Amino acid sequence: MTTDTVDVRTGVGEAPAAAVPARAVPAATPFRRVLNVELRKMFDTRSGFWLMVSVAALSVIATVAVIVFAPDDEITYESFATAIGFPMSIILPMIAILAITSEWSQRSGLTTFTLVPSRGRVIAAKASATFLVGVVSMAVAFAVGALGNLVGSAVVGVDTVWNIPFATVPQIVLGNLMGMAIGFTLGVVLRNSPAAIVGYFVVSLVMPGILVLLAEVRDWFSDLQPWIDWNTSQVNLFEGATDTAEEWAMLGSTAAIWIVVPLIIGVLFLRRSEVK
Amino acid sequence: MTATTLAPRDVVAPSRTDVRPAPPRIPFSRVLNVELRKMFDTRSGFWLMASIVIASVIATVLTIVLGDREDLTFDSFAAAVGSPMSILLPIIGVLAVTSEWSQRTALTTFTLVPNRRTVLGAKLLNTLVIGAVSMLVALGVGALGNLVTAAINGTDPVWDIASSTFAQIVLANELGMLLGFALGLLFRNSPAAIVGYFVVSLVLPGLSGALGAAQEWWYDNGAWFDLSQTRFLLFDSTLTGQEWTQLGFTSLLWIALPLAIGLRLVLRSEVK
Repeated sequence: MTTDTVDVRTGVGEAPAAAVPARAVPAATPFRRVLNVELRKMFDTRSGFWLMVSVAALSVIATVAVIVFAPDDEITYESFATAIGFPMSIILPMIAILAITSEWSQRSGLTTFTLVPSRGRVIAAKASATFLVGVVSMAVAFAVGALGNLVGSAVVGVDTVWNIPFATVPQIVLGNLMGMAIGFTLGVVLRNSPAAIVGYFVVSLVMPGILVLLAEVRDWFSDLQPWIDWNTSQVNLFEGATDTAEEWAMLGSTAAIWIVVPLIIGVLFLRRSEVK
Repeated sequence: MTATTLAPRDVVAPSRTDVRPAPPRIPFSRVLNVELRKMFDTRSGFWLMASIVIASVIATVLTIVLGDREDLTFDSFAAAVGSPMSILLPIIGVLAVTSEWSQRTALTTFTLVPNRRTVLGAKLLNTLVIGAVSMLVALGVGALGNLVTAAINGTDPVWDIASSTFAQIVLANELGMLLGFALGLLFRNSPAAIVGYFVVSLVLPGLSGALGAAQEWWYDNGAWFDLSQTRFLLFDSTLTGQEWTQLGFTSLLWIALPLAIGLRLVLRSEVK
């Protein structure tokens, strides 16, 4: 029976004994596993772990600061959300940047892209992991703020005020995800932690001022500014004020300029570049 | 004939052990020189330095192209050039320290010069000198822009920055570099130190303002604790005696104290 079978792979039907032993081809690495590994990478090192802990820690610090410093009539959910939003808007983009750049600064990229040579999948997994971390962080932040609101109003002795309409919550989360996406893009384009971090602070804290100044000086730019300045779109999201179709179109325009186009170009370069 | 010209070789070695002369102490100037070269010799270091010139040129050109050309004075150019400087220079201060850790060169550096204080002193001195030179370069580019604008307008260039103001601007940037340097020593990690610098210089002022709006005590006395409040005054106004004292006190709190703690940590820590 066995003598009839011709080993197709070796092409030697006559001498089955001399055939190369068949090696099992491993199944393709499922995306879930890549995602899982990338998620673990974000938590498993000491610096990664403390970066994640700082999300919760800073939420608590901001909440306590509101209870201690805010006047009694401002112990509302909005105050807590705003106070927590401050550290979140800085730390979440840093998480997104370092998700990418740490592969280069720690040189783990050599191992990563050897084990999974399809770099696009790794980047996609990183993007998904970053997105998950962002959403969960925002949930934690909202929960800490809610707890602070309950405790704060009890300590001060005022009624608990829930003055953030539920409809604005998704917009606030989207605003933070937008910041993370900008950070992620900068990480992909620059692939260098210091440069990407400086870049993020420049485009998020320095550039808006310059654009507003320019809009004041030049008339043709004042109409154009909300279509170009992603910070305006983000602030609108934070305030839950993105209502009209035009405002969503402006958001789309700034997202295309600052996220979609540079991210596509960055990924194309990243797939080709030598990993050192 | 040839046999007589053979040089006598030391066939028998002298029985005493050779005395090897102790090398002279490494002079500070050599450490200084090496640290300066380190800041320019790598590709990233080179481009960081080049970016000072590039950013000043871009800021100047943008001011000429986009600003109201009739109203442009040297002050406008100094402000335009100053804003990229206030970001780049502190980053140079941060990376002067942290790159030793991120690139793991600290292992070599502190083996060759085990006296870490000397190395850090050299780094600090270099950082401050680079800051002063960069400011001269930046304002030089700004001055060029002012001349070009005057030529375009066909008017006389307006030089409205007194030398005392110039000195104040340099001081403000040097303080920023010192803050970056101190944060570098404290964290010894580029991302953490850079984020730290931006938080202190761009985020805390906003928080301090919000606190001042809510708390009257902070509104009245915040200037004693908020470094940026007094440091930003250096850019565009004459400080009163009290403001100088506040600047000194906040610098002590935000720069000297972390510098001392960071120095202590670096001198003791294991270099990995």
